Amino acid sequence: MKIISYKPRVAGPPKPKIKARRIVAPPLRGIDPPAPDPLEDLPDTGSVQENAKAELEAIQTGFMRRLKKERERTIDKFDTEYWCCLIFETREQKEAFLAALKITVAEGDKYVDGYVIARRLNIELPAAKIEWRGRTHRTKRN
Amino acid sequence: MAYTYTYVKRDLSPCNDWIISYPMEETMQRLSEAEYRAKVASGEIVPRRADANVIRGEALIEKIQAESGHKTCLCAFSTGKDALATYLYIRPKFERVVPFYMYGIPGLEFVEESLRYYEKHLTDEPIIRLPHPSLYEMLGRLLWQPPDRVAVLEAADLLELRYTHRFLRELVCEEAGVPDNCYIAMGVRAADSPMRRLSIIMHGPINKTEKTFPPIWDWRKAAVMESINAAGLRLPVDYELWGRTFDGFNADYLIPLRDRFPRDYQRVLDWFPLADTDIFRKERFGRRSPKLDQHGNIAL
Repeated sequence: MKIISYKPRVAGPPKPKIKARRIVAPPLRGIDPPAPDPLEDLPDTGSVQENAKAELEAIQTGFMRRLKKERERTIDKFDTEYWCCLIFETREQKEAFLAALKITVAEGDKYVDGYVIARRLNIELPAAKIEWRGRTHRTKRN
Repeated sequence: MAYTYTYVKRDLSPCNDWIISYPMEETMQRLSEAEYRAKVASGEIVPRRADANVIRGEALIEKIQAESGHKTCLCAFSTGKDALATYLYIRPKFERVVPFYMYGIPGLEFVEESLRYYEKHLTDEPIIRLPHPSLYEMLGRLLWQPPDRVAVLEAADLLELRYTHRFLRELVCEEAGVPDNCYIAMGVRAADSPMRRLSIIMHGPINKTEKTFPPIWDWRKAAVMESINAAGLRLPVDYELWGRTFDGFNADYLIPLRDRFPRDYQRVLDWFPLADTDIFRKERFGRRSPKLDQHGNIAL
């Protein structure tokens, strides 16, 4: 047998055996607002097949509920028709109008909080319930 | 004259901690067949494993019955040809065989139709239908899920359920009312792939941890088809669409499904709404030639 010239490969002391790591999915974060657990309090039907079916149906129902909520949230977020604009013929007329409602300059002479005018005119506005990211924001200023 | 290679260990290390490894040419020797046989007989070297040494057929089934202590087993019934042949082969040899199907999507009509056909013409008891562990795995890992489903799946925490094949076997045993040490007969064959053959030869056909055994591991496709034809059974419609059973949600499976069974395709999209992106990708960039407009550009 022909021996090819070679350098003996010298290995160091044996290394500790590497343990195979189980890859675990990272926890999902930043989903806000969180959804309720769809698999909570599912009744035991007594049959494994029926339980499995009910479990999957519960997940689908959870999808539907969430989708409805997401749509409402999208409408709240992207609806831009929450303002109106009043037009007068002269500056004096506008100032007279603001003065009659006792709206100061600090409260604005171009952009006025709708709640302020409603309070001055004794109008009761319906409560706004908008889910902002991170908190449920209920406005009770009127 | 047949020659066999064998490795001869040489202890040339200067101390226990340090090992000098030599290249293969140096350590490999060629033995004549007579010398090889003599060494095998004397126990100096272990013979190479071969198919002929591995337990099979009746002996395999007897061993399984002795291991479990009764003549009942489960049968993983995917409606594929190997599953059919497995069921046909083991049914007369066991007192009770419990077939079960693992669905990837609940309530697919064409699957349900096949299962009902085999319940009528093949199995002597209803086929147990349970979700495939991979369904929970795919949902838990958010495969093809739009953003609005993420919060729900996060709350459900499907990966935490640890719905594995081992757990599934226990559930099937519970549902069928059979002892929980029943083995699962599977339609795995050595001819499926070289790695599968190697695995069976190296580790034996019986998996004691997962409690599975492949009764027809040594069969070839001709034998499988012969047994199905002898029983007068039809193959499921899956073979018409894909040449194998439905198993996965990529474009190769979904395109024929969409064209043939639109309602079932919709059911797949109910669970994996973004799965059609794979179809889009394949149709635009896959091997099929993309649709071109009048200017020769890829049409959207």
